[in-house]
Amino acid sequence: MALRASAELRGYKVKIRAIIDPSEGIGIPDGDLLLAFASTVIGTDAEALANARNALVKRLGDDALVAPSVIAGNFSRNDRVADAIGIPMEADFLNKSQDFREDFGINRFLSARNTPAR
Amino acid sequence: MGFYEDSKFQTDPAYERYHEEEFETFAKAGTWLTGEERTAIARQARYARCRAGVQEAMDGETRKPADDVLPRALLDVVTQIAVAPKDIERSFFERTLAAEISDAEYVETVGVVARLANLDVFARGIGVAMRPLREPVDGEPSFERPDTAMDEGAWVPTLPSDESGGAAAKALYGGGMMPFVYRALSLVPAEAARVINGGNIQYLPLNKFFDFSYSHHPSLSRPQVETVAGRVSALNECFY
Repeated sequence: MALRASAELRGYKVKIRAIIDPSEGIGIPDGDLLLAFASTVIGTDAEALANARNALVKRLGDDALVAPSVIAGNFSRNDRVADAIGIPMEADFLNKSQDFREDFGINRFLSARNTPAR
Repeated sequence: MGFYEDSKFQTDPAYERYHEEEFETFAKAGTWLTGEERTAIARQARYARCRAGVQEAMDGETRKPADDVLPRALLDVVTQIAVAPKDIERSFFERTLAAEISDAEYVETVGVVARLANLDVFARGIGVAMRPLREPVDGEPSFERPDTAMDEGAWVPTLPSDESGGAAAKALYGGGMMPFVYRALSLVPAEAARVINGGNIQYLPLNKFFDFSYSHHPSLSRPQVETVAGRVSALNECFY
């Protein structure tokens, strides 16, 4: 929801599906690099992470690495909290993601069961 | 000396302070668990993440905790949350309770494992080694359970952020409405407070969430921040 709202505010034609399948291109400046970094920083391929890190720094500079790292860490924590406690999604957020959740397979995540109203 | 002095990249002092405090909290007695137990939880989480290949091993930081500190059921909880949170089902939580782990002990464990994952992912991102865990500090847990925690639809009771949460909710939330992810650990308010604080420092102040022109990070626009957040949550298969 926040991705779409913030992107539309800037006039970007964001493709939310790229969050699930980054090969599609997300329509956000430098989104390809950010998606590659986010994919590898929580993955198992250390070499791919090093490449993603280097590419990000080369294009955007040193400062651009710290922020994605702290965001990846923050959401690694939030996701664990949400999934381990079985919290349901709030109705407002649920309504605003209804149009793409089914198409993108998000409703089939195991943790979707924690939101009976989906 | 900065907490990430060895990094090639300049880190925000606010992150450094918050991260250093996080490590201190793991070593101290919590609400239901001792400092020794919390440190063992952190150690097991790192051991599991390194074995799974999502964190680089490091001398002294990836050894298993001693066998006699945590019950088997709690070790299983730690490993699952550390490595594969997407596969956690309610039945797993219920089996944990059946193994005589209380709901509050479970919540505190979730908090320690999740908060450590935050720190270790950050370190990995900026290309430095995991920061060492502190030695456990002696002390007794406080054993405080908020009496206004109730069933709000999660697997464990949580503190509502409206008036029904009473004084405990007001103390924790400051009187504002809170999203569920910030209420999730509120059966153990000290853990919830750390998560709320971390979100405000690392993501954005909660009162700025609906200001979609705002970015808390000078080097990234808000859509770029949400791109990283969204991709991480998608890979974690987190519906929330």
